[in-house]
Amino acid sequence: MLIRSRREFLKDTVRSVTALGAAGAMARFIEMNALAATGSGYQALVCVFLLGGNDGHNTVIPIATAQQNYSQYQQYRGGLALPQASLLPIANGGETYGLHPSLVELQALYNQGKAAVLANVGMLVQPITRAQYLGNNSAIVPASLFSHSDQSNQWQTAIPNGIAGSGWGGRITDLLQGQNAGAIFPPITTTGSCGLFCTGVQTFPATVPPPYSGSTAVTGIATLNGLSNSPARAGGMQQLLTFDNGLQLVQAANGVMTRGNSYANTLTSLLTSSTLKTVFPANNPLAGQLQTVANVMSVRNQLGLTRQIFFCLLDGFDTHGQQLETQQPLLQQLSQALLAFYQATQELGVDQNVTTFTASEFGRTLTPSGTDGSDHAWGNHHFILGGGVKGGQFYGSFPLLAPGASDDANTRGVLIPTTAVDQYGATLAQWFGVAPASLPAIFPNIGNFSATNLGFLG
Amino acid sequence: MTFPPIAILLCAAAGAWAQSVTISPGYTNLGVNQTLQYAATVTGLTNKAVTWKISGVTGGNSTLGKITKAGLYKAPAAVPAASTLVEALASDGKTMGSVYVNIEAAGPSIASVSPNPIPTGNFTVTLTGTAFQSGAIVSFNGANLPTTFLTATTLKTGAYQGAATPGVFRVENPGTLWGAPFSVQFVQSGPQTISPTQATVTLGANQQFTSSGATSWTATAGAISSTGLYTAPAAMPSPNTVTVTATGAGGSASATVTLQSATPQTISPASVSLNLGATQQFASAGATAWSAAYGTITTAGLYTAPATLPSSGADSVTVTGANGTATAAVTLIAPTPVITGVGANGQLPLGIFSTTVTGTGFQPGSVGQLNGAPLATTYSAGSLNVTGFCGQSGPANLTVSTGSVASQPFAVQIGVPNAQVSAAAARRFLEQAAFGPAPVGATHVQTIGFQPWLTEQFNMAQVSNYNIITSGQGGMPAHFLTNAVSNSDQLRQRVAFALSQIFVTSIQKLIWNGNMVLFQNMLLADAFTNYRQIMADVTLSPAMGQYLDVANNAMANTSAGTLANENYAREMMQLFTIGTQMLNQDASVQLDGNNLPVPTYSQFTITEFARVYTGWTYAPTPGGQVNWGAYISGYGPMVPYPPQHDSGSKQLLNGSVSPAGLAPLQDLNNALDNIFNHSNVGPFVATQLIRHLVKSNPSPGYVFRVAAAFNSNSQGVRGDMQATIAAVLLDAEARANDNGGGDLTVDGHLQEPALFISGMVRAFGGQMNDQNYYPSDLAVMGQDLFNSPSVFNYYSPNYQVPGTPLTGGEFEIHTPNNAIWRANVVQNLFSQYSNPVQSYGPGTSLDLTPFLALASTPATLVAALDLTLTHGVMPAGMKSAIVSAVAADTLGPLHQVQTACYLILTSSYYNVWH
Repeated sequence: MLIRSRREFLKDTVRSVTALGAAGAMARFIEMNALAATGSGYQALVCVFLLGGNDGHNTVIPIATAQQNYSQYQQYRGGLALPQASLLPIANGGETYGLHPSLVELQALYNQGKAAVLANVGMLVQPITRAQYLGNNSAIVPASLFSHSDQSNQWQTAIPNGIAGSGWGGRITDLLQGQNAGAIFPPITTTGSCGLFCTGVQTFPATVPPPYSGSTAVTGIATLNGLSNSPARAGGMQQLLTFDNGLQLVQAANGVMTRGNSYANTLTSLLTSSTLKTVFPANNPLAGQLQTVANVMSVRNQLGLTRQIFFCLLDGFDTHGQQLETQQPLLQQLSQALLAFYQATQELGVDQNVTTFTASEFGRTLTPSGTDGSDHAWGNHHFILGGGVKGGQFYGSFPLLAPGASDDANTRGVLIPTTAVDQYGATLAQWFGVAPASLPAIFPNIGNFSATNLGFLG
Repeated sequence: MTFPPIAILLCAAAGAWAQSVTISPGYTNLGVNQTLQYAATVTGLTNKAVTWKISGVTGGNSTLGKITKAGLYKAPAAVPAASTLVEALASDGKTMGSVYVNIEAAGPSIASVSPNPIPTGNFTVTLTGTAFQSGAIVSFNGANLPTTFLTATTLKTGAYQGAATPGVFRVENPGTLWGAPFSVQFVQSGPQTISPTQATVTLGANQQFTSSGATSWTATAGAISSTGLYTAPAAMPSPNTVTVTATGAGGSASATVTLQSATPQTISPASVSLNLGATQQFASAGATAWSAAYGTITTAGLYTAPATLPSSGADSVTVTGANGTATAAVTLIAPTPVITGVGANGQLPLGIFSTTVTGTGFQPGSVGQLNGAPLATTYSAGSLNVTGFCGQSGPANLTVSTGSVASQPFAVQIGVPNAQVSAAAARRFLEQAAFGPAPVGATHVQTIGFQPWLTEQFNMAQVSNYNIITSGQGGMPAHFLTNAVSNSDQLRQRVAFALSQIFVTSIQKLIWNGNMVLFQNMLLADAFTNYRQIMADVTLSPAMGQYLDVANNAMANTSAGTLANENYAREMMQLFTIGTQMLNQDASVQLDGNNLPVPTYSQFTITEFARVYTGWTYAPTPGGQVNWGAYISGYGPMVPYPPQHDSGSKQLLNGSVSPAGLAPLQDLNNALDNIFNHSNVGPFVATQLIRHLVKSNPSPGYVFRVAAAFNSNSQGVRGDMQATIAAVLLDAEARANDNGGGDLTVDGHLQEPALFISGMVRAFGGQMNDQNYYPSDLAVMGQDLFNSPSVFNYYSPNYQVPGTPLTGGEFEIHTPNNAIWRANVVQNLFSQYSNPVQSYGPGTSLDLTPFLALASTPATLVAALDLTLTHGVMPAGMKSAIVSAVAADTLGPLHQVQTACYLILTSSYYNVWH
């Protein structure tokens, strides 16, 4: 049976190309070329948010670089320092860094040129020096630094001061709605609840959780189970969903339910079984989310989407205590999940078209806390992964690990970011198809930074 | 010298040249004798022609399959021994492309199917054929069936087919194609039937019986032909009944023939009307036996009517004699019912009610009526229980009728007499002050009024706790719901739930229940105390000590390069008391010269407070020694360990200083007093409590008034929880619109999952115990109780609802998928097929019986559910939509009630409490 369906799928593919006709296919090809530099018909961004503030100091460690070596790290990290022999070495030009010992798969991807490191990126209003930061001018410093909720929102909205109702993922898809004309599914999918990143002004995300344990479904998306055999009830529900009693929150809830029903019906009818063969690691919640992402990607053509953004979340990084024991399994989960996902994109033939990137509300202090942890800080190191990434090297500027020195906001190794979230996002957005002139609509402060493309994507 | 590497290098270089041939499609599976069109794309050569080969043989051969010059490949008739390669050689004679084609064998064939034809319904068949292999699969009409491999020639399978239409079986072995189809016939199966099944036949007369497919007929007396024509005997046999049996493919079927003589038995009188208990003499010539369905009758035919009326209102008397039987009809005359009392003093609650009617002359068939509308009535030992609905408060008339005989009307009072507040207001109030209105609780609020109800709740001893939880993990969320649905200390629970979402701790880091039980018990105990006390109790609780690292927080150690842990210092201010921005008393944000918010503290403040919270560890066993680095314990609040306390002076908020040299507790009290007295606490707490209890978007004036109550109660005390809670619940803005019709567009808040589930069950007066299934639903819907993903709670209180300018924290976890899940939670409870008691597992039940009688009048049903669920103010347009759906529901009264419940409970109007 499997054999026959595969054969039929091939025939269908041929048929649909034929149906378009040579002229139609050519016209579409030109249109795609005009909008996307790669000339590909599909681009996807996958955000993996490490909630709680991942400790970047123990994620990417300098071993032998021009400005410092392992002993400097070891001196200030104290009881949190990872043994040098345990680190997984990677080269950045002539310099040697080490990855956390859990990041075996990421090391391999980096060495294959499929992954890059972006050093010391964080929320900024504008480039800022230590002296300027200590000058206490609210206009040039993001509000409520070091607060989980505020910094998490700012990373997702790229709005460092004030209240934002939409995130930069949502604003990108707002802007590129023309790319997804005719789509029957939202351009953004989150695997759980999503903060602001996924919310646009006009576009709202679909939630597609991984399958619940014990379920044999492809995803955990739920369909209404109360309407079968009861057209009367279905009709009543439809009427109530359009019934407006004037309350905005009632209307908002109507919208959520209406969208939920539409998304569920669309996706479940298309994803009755998974075609993915890539094996994802078991007992790895992030892998489960990324497997779900890959499954949704597998029906992208049927969904009518040529631009997709995904949001996954891995929680537990707020390591004020027991950091070494806590971070190790989390980073292992991250690394193994990312490799499986990359392989899945290869299987789907979209590895060049999918870029995965990590985010986190902030980094952590270099010097330890009273217990065996670290506290909230600012700048942090992140990974970008995918066939389109110019990997095997570092971007941004790796900071000097020295409390009280120029890269420190105070005396605990709180990194002042040297690359802004805006620049990170703008680079991804441009690869995704956003024209440089449109960047300020998504990243209002991008004009404060000289480089709007960090170059880690082709 | 090692040449091979060089050879590889040459190959690699060759590959870099531009000539190539690619073949499409790529690797393919193909059945024997099947054809497939290949295409070759030649690049780097002018001549695009290719020569097709199969595994090196131009044009292929019968073993490998053949390929035409145009690339049309036909697989061979048998699977080749070696793998098969399709090759296209370019015109230069050296550039070649190739792809594998995997030839699959033909499937096995079926010789016979047994039985054939197959009886319809669930069937099991044996397939006989050749070359079946272990793992073979049978398909039936295109669907794969579970297949048992018996031998290489037999397979067993089964399925269901309802109609006597033909079917097609096929078999495939692992890795083969489907074999040839084999068609079978189905025949309608089922038990043999006979018609008629009963007949009365006069001696010597005929009666035709029919039985489809019958092959033989028998009769216990008389004669029956092979076509079913029965002839009664000439003389009456004993007994006087005969069994006629037809036998056929479906077994046998029997009919009963009662024989009668040509002159039938008679009875006199043939009909009569009698009072209950009265007597009547019956006569019948040649009578041998007398019987009555309800009354009694002597062997002489003297009948006594029953004392109570059968539900049919009639009796029958039957006589048996030589010529068969005869029956007389007895009409029983019901006594006139007299009502002497209804429930408690003639009081009926508003809405759905169920009450006892006492009096005389009631019969099992008596029916109560309220203002002329019939009520569901049950009879028991001389009195009646009536159940129904009345949506209108005030006087009403109750009557009882037995058949056409009716009682005099009895005056009853509907609803609370001299109610302090309306039914709607009481119910809406309980959406804010309790886990939703339960019918009895709403009546109580109407009786005593809002302020006395609050006083009653404030003075009520704590009922709810988690002491029953003795397991290490699991159980608390289920018990939360049990408490919320069942316990009388509703306000205490509701406030403690709000506090648990401000002062967040989580099983995620506590791991075991033990300290979460103590922490939640403490919040329940503290709910009506003072916010300062809550701050202190939380700070020193082992749960918080572990969760935000106050426990074993060491003073800075310069030689080790460590500093005091900042975790609690930050969240105590950011999340529990003052927030990050300076607030005015109405919670509006104070702005600086750049028009940006003024921060409440700096990073420096955090490091200073971090030093305050040093030198505390878990309490030892009573009388034991305090150990630094102790493991979490349940022996009460954390205790100081002075050697690890940073005794230097600390810069607190607003320029205050906690001087050097203080003991840990003195320092802590200074710090907590300093935070507690910050001007932000009032508006901060006011906003949080209003959002949890009343509405997501309060006006500045509302916040201001609640903050003022927090800042100073009637005795001038700051932080009094009772004064603050009363201000939240009794404020004009909270109570506006209690009777509906005056909604502000920004009103309301989405019920969070735990409120939704408990409110749904409470509204119907339902039951919840610890065996309930809801903890997993709560977790899926983003509210895994007491297991918040972080100190930021299940959702942020400041979350902005997408597409609106409004705040609505609960929406953060109300994703499109969770909204669907919530609707399914409703369906899972309201889905009993025939039992009016709805249940979801052994822990949750509610009874819809009172509503069933209303299903025939959908408008009344919806009115009853409006009062039950939407405090009686549902907009007319919404009502009419539900009434139409109920009227169009053809699946019976229970399903109609379920439909109305489902539509209201899944409506956004209900889900946003307002």
